[in-house]
Amino acid sequence: MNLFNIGVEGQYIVATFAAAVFAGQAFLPGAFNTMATIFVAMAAGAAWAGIAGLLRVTRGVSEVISTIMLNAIALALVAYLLRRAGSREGQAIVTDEIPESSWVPNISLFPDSVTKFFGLGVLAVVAGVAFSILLNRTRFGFNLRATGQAETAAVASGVDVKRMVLYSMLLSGAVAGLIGMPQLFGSSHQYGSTIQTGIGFTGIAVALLGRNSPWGIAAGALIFAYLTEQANPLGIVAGISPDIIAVTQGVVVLSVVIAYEVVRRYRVSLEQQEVAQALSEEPEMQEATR
Amino acid sequence: MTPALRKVALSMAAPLLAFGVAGLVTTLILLGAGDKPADFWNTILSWPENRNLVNILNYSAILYLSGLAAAIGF
Repeated sequence: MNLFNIGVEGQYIVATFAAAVFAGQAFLPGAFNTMATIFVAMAAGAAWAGIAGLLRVTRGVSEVISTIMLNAIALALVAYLLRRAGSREGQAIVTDEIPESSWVPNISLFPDSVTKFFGLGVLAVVAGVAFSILLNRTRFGFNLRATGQAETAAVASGVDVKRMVLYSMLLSGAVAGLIGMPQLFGSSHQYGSTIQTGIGFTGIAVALLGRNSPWGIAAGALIFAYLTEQANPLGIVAGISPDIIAVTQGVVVLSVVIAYEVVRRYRVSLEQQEVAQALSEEPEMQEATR
Repeated sequence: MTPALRKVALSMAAPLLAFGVAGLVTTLILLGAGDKPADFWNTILSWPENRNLVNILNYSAILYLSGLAAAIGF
């Protein structure tokens, strides 16, 4: 709906931190702690995104600007709070470790592999299915698409655009809150100052590459993950800095935007040709029937 | 070409075109910087080992969630 949430990164950082602190307190036993923590992460992500949503609907502040700024604030705020909530462990500051009973076991895909698939990686599948149902099978999803494709038409048919903006911002933030969960419950078990950053920005590239379709995003995520992982040994094997792959990924995103436009124009001109051909054939057919 | 086939071909054309251009640009940068593009492509296109395959899946799951979050607004 033409709402650009550039703040996925900040929402992910805030949500993962809030989740790690909550899970570390172990208010609830075992799996209940895990489920409650996932809920906390979604709520924290939604709340952080909600700031930008509220600013947009009440004061007309562009969400592009506010979410970018909120990214910087999120990083600083979490770094500050981490010193209060966490303790020093070697070079890093970390939150309390999640009790082992709340960990989510990883899935061993290959018997000979030392790495295992994150148990909460299934969240991606669940979120993907929920996303496509929401977008294609619900009234909310219809309103969302209508607002994006023709705002005036949506308003005329009774869609409250302001409410849609706020809801989709909250929803976007809630999903962003899930990003850190597979790793938190699968391998790190705590939030540390060494948290992987940049995932939120890569996500924007993946969404662009996948044209916002659930399958497209899946393909985009797989390809980006493949390129990143394959580039790791570049320095050792070929003496080339692995950073080159980030350049490749950047160029992919830039050129995919251009390529979609080129293909769209080609498709339009094909359709025009077909229509012109059909129209020029029509008089002859009328002659023949006469 | 049937309309259905053409629709599929057209929807695949843009991503393929984009990856082709990105591959070309990367090759040119490598050449310009004095690295061997052949080494780069051999490493990138070699089949990943099982432990790398798992890493790829793990990272894709995380990127998928991130991409989904961004896509809700678009």
